[in-house]
Amino acid sequence: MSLETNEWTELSPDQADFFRVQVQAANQMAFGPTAHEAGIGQLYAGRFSVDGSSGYA
Amino acid sequence: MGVPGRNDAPAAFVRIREAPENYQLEGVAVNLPLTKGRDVHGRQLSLRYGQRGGVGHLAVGFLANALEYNSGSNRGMPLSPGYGKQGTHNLELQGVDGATVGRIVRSLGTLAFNVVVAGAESGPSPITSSTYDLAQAFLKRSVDDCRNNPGSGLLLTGGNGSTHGVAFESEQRDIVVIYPTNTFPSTISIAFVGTGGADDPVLAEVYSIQSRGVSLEMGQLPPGLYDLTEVMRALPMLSMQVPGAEDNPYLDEPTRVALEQRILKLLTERTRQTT
Repeated sequence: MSLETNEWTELSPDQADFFRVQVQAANQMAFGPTAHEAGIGQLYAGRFSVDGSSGYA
Repeated sequence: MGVPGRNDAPAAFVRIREAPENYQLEGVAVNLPLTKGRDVHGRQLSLRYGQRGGVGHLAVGFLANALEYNSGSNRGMPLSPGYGKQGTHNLELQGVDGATVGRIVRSLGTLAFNVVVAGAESGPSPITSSTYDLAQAFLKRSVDDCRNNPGSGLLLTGGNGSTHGVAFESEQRDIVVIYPTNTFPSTISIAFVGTGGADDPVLAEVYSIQSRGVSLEMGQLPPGLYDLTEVMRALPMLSMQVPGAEDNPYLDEPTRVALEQRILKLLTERTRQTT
């Protein structure tokens, strides 16, 4: 993969709080035991090693 | 995604737009480890050349870049060839597609259907990945064997009918149950359940195997368990939730190696029985 743009801005405390709650809610609902029992499948599961020569692979 | 029971794991929420020549990513990364409170919003344009692994790869790449930005080594610059030289990290990704997210989290689902929720853990390369890899191979092999040789074990199915584990009896007369218990962090559980006499309590050992460590929970099941079906009926009496490291420390190195040897022995047994 080649990155042409890679821009980052820091979130305000309010924004950060909002997204933390949203992501945590998604985490619980998508990956908690209930979701597992309901058969909600994961999009992709894999482990990626990051090293100095190849980025993530 | 965060780790269940641990709300401070690095996580990213990424929207990916696909164009003929590139992918446009926009999202947030929270709980970045190095500088508390410095959560970020990011935009990336990734050329499609050489891209592999689809949106999963893109999502974990987004988080990897956020971690790099967080480290302060390369702020605002494109990913460099020397990326990651400060140390080796291990990122683990789980994600669900936008439609699924949309169904379960309304507020996120309104953003788009091409949303990916993904997450990763970052840290030193785990010394225990060999146990996880071995357990994964054991799970796959056991399920395949059971499918190809009906009667060699009991396939475990989830609520949607898909196979997700297997139980069988070992040559040592233990009931062995192997199944994934958690999708993030990826966890494979192996339960060894003794088959005692009619009046004896049955001892059960349940190992929860993750790439970063293995924990053990021991318990007793009621007496009178003799076969796979009865064991499977009783097993939920044990707590099958994956404990946090704080609740149930990871095994020490000799115990973990002993578990690997036990798994290897079972793999050899299964190979001998089914070939």
